[in-house]
Amino acid sequence: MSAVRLDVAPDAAHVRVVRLVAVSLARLHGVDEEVVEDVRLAVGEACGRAVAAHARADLDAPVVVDFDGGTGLTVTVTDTVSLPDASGPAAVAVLAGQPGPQLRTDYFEAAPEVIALLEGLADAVTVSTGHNGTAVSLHWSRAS
Amino acid sequence: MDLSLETRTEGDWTVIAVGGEIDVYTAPKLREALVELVNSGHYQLVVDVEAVDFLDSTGLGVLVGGLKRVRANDGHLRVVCTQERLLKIFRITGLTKVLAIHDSVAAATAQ
Repeated sequence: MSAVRLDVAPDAAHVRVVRLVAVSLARLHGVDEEVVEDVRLAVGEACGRAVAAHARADLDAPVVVDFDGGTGLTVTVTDTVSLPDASGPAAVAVLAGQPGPQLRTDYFEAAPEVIALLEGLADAVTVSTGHNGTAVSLHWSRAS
Repeated sequence: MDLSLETRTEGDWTVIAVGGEIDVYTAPKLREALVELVNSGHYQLVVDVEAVDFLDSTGLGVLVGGLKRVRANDGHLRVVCTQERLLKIFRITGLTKVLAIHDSVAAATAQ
């Protein structure tokens, strides 16, 4: 169970609300004040992408955003849009912190600027894609 | 905060002063404004984002889309921005190589 969970109806107008919650929780969990703006942008990007994916798929189901503390702030944005090529076990790509050939470019190829931003803004980015959708997890460390 | 748009003419240039947040919700409004300007024959555009609090990739996409439209008509689209947090976004996405970014409207409309 995450510390805070938001069920976000897939409407672009709600993405701003998620950004505001992310900023508040980043401060609560001790993320460096200089990085809080990065949290706002990256969470907005991930959530905006998920909301747009639901809208394109004509899905009314909510996008789920989980916030967890601990060693900083971890935000996971989960959509329920199944990818046509996501057969087999869930594929996991580590996009920041451990760049490598396992990057699933198919997921973000329509929006390379989103992936560039996520990689540039978060300390760690993980994307898990499976039959039931995609989870984008972003992590920021607590200020030392 | 919602998006505000104010358009004015400075010499050969049309300046669009943008305020508020440009995100996945508000960016379509800016896109419509740029498309309307290009469709009405304005191909020398300056987009002033000095009063913008927040810019996401949707907003970047709108700026690049505007650039493509004016270029198709031998025009220019220049951006006015001195805010470090917005400049960082342009740098991360590599758009500093694509978009001409100036530190004032005067500088953007000088050449």
